Amino acid sequence: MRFLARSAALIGLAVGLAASLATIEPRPSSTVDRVATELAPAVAEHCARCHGLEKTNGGVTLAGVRDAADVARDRATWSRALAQLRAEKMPPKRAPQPSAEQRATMIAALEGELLRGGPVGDTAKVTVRRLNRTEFKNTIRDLFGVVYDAEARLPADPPTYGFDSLGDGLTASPLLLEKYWDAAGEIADRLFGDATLRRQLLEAAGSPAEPVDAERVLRYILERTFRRPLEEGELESRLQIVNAELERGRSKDEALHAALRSVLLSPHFLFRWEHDRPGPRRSGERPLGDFELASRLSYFLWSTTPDEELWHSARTGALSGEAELRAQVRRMLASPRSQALSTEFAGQWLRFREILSVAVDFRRFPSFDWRLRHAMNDEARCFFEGLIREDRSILELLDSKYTYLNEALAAHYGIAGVKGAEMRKVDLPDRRRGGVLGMGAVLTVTSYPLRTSPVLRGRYVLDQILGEPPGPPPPGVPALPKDDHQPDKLTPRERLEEHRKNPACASCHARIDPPGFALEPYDGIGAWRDQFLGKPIDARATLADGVAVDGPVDLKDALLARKEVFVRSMAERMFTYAVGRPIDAADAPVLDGIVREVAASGYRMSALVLGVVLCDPFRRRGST
Amino acid sequence: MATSLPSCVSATVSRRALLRGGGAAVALPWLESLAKALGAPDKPPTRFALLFMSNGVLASSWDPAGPGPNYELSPTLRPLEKLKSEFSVLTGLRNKNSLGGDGHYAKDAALMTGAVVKRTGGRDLENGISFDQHLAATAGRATPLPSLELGTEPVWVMEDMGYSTVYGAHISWRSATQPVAKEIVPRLAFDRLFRTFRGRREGADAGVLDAVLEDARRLRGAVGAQDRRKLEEYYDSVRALELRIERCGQLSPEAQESVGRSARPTEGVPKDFAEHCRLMLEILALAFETDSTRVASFMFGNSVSGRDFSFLPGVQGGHHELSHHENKEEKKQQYQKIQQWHVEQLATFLERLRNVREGEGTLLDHSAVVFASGMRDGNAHDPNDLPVLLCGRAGGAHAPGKLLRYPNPTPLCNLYVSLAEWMGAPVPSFGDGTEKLI
Repeated sequence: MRFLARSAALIGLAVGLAASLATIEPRPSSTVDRVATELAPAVAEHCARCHGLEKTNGGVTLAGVRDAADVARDRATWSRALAQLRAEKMPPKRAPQPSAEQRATMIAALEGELLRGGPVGDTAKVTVRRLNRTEFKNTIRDLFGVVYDAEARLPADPPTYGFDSLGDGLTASPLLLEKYWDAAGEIADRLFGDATLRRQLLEAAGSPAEPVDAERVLRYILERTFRRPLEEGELESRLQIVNAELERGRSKDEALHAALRSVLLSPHFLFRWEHDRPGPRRSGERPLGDFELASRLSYFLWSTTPDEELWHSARTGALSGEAELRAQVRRMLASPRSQALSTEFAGQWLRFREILSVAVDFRRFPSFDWRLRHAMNDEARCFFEGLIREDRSILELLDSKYTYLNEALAAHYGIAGVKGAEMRKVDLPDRRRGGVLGMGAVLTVTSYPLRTSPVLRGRYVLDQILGEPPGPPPPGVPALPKDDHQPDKLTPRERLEEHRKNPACASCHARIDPPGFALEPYDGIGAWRDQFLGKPIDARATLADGVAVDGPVDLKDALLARKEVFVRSMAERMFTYAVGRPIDAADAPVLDGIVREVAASGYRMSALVLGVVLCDPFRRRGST
Repeated sequence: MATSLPSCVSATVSRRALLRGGGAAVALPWLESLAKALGAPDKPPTRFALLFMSNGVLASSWDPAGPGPNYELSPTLRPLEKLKSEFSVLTGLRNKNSLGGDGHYAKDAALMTGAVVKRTGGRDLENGISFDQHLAATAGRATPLPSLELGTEPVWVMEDMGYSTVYGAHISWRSATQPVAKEIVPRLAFDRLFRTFRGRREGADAGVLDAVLEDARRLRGAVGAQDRRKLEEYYDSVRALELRIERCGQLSPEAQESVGRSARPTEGVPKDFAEHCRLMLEILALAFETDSTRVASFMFGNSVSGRDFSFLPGVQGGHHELSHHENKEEKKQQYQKIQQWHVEQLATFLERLRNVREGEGTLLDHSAVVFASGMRDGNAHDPNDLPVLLCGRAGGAHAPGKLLRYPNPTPLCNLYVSLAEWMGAPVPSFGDGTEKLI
């Protein structure tokens, strides 16, 4: 039995290798087995005492590793070991520590090997994703032309790892099913009750208007809602509903209405399943099928179901080929539907869509009305859409010579010559704006209702821009006053400097606060100010890496100097959004590869999107 | 109008009979005459609700003084002055299995489960079935909705102190791995409760759901363990929907009258938090009054709620930050005012239940309402001697108006053992509770 299982695993690995070699650009290879020469001795020295053959702490055995093949055989365990090494959680603090150099060597050896076999391990399996509210709405709109008011009728989905479209957080409660029940009824009512929509459906399905070919219509509905060809028995199960209704003396429309309701409640429609078909129950890591890939692509770039062209590409089996995949990505990015990437991906990653709900004290900031809120959201949204549409450099998110403004927002920024309510691209007179850190939306969502927060803004720079989020504050930490107009006339900055005298706080705040201090020239709603509480703004700060900055322009230069870190951070977010799971330690080499390609392209947006789409975790499914 | 059956009878009618016959089961207030006419028990049913408050209490202002019925209400409990004979203060209770986890999440998620909450920031949540869901699966079978879960704050998912914040957003757990989603929008909660589920086209609904369930069953064989959890949750929810349709048809004229007395809430979430809580508790009261459900939970806030309570005079700041009062007088005062505000909302709710006549007594007489927090002092995250109030007479099982001091520590879960019996769903033990408390 053991032998059989192992053989199966090896065959799976071989298949995986062949597939990835055929479709992915060759990766650097090395003839030296670093596992044998570097990792194995280090494991014997630092890991074997607790993770041996007899003593197996945590059920983990690392001792006895000889060469790369041993690592390849148990990728899940070694992926975890890699994560522990990178996070410096192992060896435990009480045990003798490897030198920094030795740790780096171990990490490099493991990464090299884990990369070779494709980065997907047991820890890297994606949880099935339910259509979230936006995806549900878009899918119904694009399949049937029915615009369903999902925002008002379905509950919001919880953000998970920063995004509200990840399977781990998308539950299916009885409450939700009741709402789907209502939605299915309303959608079917509207589809069959509207002559135009009904005619479009019949045409798309290839049915004559009279008599309606119910089976043909049903097959079309099923295939498109399930986003794949039908399996045996699936058409028949819904035909039963149709026939039962017809036998009750109802019309074909009424019969199809009932069948459609049943289809819209089906798990095949509401979730994006990926499994082997046909095949054994438990499957190893494998390339995704064309239809699975079409769904991943479409929900990643468009937050909706595949269109005709993508469907056709999947049906002909072309989509899994790299050239076709590239062509489809370029086509999809050029489509207006890629706006979803801006509202859904960027809106959540860069947090600008929070501007529509963030609390601002209207007495303190009387100019902050709904027009300005929407203009701030639109600025960020249009900016990101422009990066996609014009395939611009993603470094413009850090700094740009232009932004998008209307009259209200231009006035808010003190920029003259912009008239009217519509947003347009405007060349900036100086570097105080440009890039997300000069955007009203970002500066406001990182403020409190009554004051700026260098902590929240600093945290934003670390988390959103650099991908190095600080940990949560320890319990029992007092917060600063909510209002910055206090009797003692201390600025938030002065107050924080007091706070940092406490060594327990200083260790983290020495990293968090400085970028926030550099952004102090923007007030709580992102307007420029030179003075505050009668004192000139002090925007000097020393960043954690020792770079001294004074104000946002310096900060932008400092961030541009670390552009690889920013690109990596953006790649990680986009990876999580696209693939549907958090980053795994074993993904590091893949991400490094994406970052290299993006840099080589001159930081083009399309290079990042293509890098994510073409990487193994996006195109393959992990083992179960 | 189709044959009217009270909901407690409808549960025994098969789904097919109802759906095929196009008959409508109804939710309606418990009516003595009708109960007698149908040979149903001549006693109104007992209802259970747990109202959860985040972030603990300022102990010095919570603890009442003196023994027995003549005890003196503490400052925080003073809003309940007029209702002193309607509730008991329970002291010395502890939720033993929540001791291991630091912070809020392990304590709040375990409040009604009595289970050990697995420390995880990710996908592999593990708690236990909560007491209300035990009731939902038993006593809840008699009503259109097995249970009702309400709250005010949305779920967001991240890791905090090693725990998934999903824990802190749910006190009701259908199984060890499945938290029960709560409704936070008043109108949606109202509509859900008093909606009708008449077959859209009589006869078709059974087939619609049969095909859906069949899809799910066929999928089972094709998905791995991780996805199977999601599939099971979906499957259970479709089954719940099926039951809901089976049990709930048109509202009877009597029930409609009860509902009609309270206006349907406007869309969205009220900006005024007090109004938000009032609406949610009004819906809960209506649900009990119309016997739409007998089991409910309500979360005033999620774990670690940072709700801005500056709308209270003398309070400046968020709930959680003030709970870490560091023994500073001015913070303690503000922290206490927040609890007192919660107790005021409780008082309004209890009076609302008391104003409904039912049989020989009031709706409050036929209810057991627990008000509790997952910890004692929020500054210390103290899990001992939890703040617990038991309100109502639970259909005569509980004689309120007392200060009940239990030797510290006594299992909080013993209270659930008592309540289970009162609700007609006895258990030999629950969590670390092995005997009846009362």
